[in-house]
Amino acid sequence: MTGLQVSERRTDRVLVRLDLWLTRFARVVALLGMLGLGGAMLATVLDVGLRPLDEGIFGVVDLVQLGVMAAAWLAIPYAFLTDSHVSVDLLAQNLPSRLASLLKALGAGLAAGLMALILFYGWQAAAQQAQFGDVSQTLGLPRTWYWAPLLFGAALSVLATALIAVTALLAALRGAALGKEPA
Amino acid sequence: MSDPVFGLLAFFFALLLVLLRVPVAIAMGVVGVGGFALLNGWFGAAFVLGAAPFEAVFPYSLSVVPLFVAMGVFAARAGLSQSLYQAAGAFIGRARGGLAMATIGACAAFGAICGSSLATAATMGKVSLPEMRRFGYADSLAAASIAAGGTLGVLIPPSILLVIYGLLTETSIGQLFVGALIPGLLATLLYMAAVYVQTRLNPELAPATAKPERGHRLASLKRVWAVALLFFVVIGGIYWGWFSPTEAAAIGAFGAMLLTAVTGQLTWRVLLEAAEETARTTGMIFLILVGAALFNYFIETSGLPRLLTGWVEGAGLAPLTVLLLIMLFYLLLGCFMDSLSMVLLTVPFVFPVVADLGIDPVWFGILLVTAAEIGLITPPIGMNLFVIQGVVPGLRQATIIRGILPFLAADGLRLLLLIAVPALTLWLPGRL
Repeated sequence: MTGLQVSERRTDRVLVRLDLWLTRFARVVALLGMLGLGGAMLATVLDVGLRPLDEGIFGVVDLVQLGVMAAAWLAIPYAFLTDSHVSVDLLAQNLPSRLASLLKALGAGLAAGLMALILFYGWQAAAQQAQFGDVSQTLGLPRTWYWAPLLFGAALSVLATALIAVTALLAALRGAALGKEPA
Repeated sequence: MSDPVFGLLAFFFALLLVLLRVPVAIAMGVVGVGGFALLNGWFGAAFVLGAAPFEAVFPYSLSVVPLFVAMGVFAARAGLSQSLYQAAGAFIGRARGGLAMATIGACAAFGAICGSSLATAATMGKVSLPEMRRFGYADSLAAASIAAGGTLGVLIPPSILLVIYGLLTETSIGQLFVGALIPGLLATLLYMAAVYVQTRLNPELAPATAKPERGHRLASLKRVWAVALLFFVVIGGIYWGWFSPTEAAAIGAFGAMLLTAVTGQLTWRVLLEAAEETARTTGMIFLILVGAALFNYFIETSGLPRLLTGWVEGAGLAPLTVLLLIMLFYLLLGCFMDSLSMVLLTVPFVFPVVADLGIDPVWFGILLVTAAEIGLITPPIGMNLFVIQGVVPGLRQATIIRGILPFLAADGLRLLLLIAVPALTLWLPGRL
């Protein structure tokens, strides 16, 4: 086995392990987001249930918005790592595997770039709102609580898509599938 | 180059990226940000990047989306598909082609609590295809009836696609849901008629089966009352103004979870799987919403909607002609794109034209979703065709495509009927 092959194998192992850890972590994060959604659901059902008694959950709208922000943004990285984001395979499925991997690298690279921009400018917007002391309408929750899932989800998405892009790019360069097969 | 022409070119560039397998949300987002920066400078694009991803998820009205997704996911796991299929089969299964009609009826009922076409097709495929094969039905008819029946999930309320159209165009979700009821029923009847005509012309497609006993019919109805109750509470609740769409979605999700528990299907594993599936779908939909928000900022700034509106006014075309052309455009696009992406990518510049012509947004929404629904079974990338193939290993694509043609004819007829008779859509919402 040549030195190059040994180095390639080591890279493969590192990437596969990284993918495994990141997917596990993203799954836990997504499930935490779903807890937020479950909370939003229960708060709404309770609010409706208490209505005949002229009672309700104070600030239910604020709570639901927080739960849905968490559910949506914490689920986005997991959707990247499980290839759940909608893409059209019509052209790619008929291409040689190298080209298909290259297209996958392009998509993931663009996604990494966009998510990085969202993270950077989102951070600035969140910092500005924190400076002004912006709070939610009813409960007065700091707006940064709503920004937290967005920034965390965007950061994790940058890592996820960068890993997918590197893996696919290596597969394209070598002409062999690496880690996950290009879908 | 003028700004609107630049907007139009950018739209085609986004389509090109989509064809190059770039995720639809990313294609819309990248083109949106890039286009906005080229038109207004990077400072403006930076402002959009700081605001749009937050605003695309934050509004309370959007909570309805993940809650209806959760409702559909739990409904698919509650083991109701078997009961629905048996109930429909007990009433119409005896007739020639009856099991295929029962599949369509069960798909309609399942779609009434699920809201996802793919989940409806996948769930009913597992239940009804083995049964139809057992009774000697041709694979082409069996598979096509499931693929076509599955599309009912996207039209019959609660429909995720209708929710997203409503949010995008600021059209009442309650009115859209109520407006979809008669078109949904019409679709079900026309699909059943397609089965009837096919089996009359070629009886070998589906042999007749034994008549079920009266007691069997009653027993089968008892097993599906909960589905009817959940649908009644969710859609009836919106119709009669008991609760808002978000509240109805929360109650629907909670009810579907309860149903899963009542039917003995709710284990920790199922709960975890359902949460994962909800997370994947929620992440996918919201990223598309973020991408669409970025894209919309750019499209609005480019002035493309104004250009199209001006062009339509200048051409002096009748609203009906424009509507037919738009539907043709969607039918063609539906051959290559999935319904959600298609709606999000095009509505920002198509809807202003429609609104300018005075076309009712509820009517247009139902027509749009109907056209998108047809795309689900139109080759070469009809998603439901692939779902059925995935559920039944060994089933050839050509077999499904051969069987789907009569259902596509039924869809064409339905679209024409809905265009010719707007009251089919607008009568019920008018009574809200």
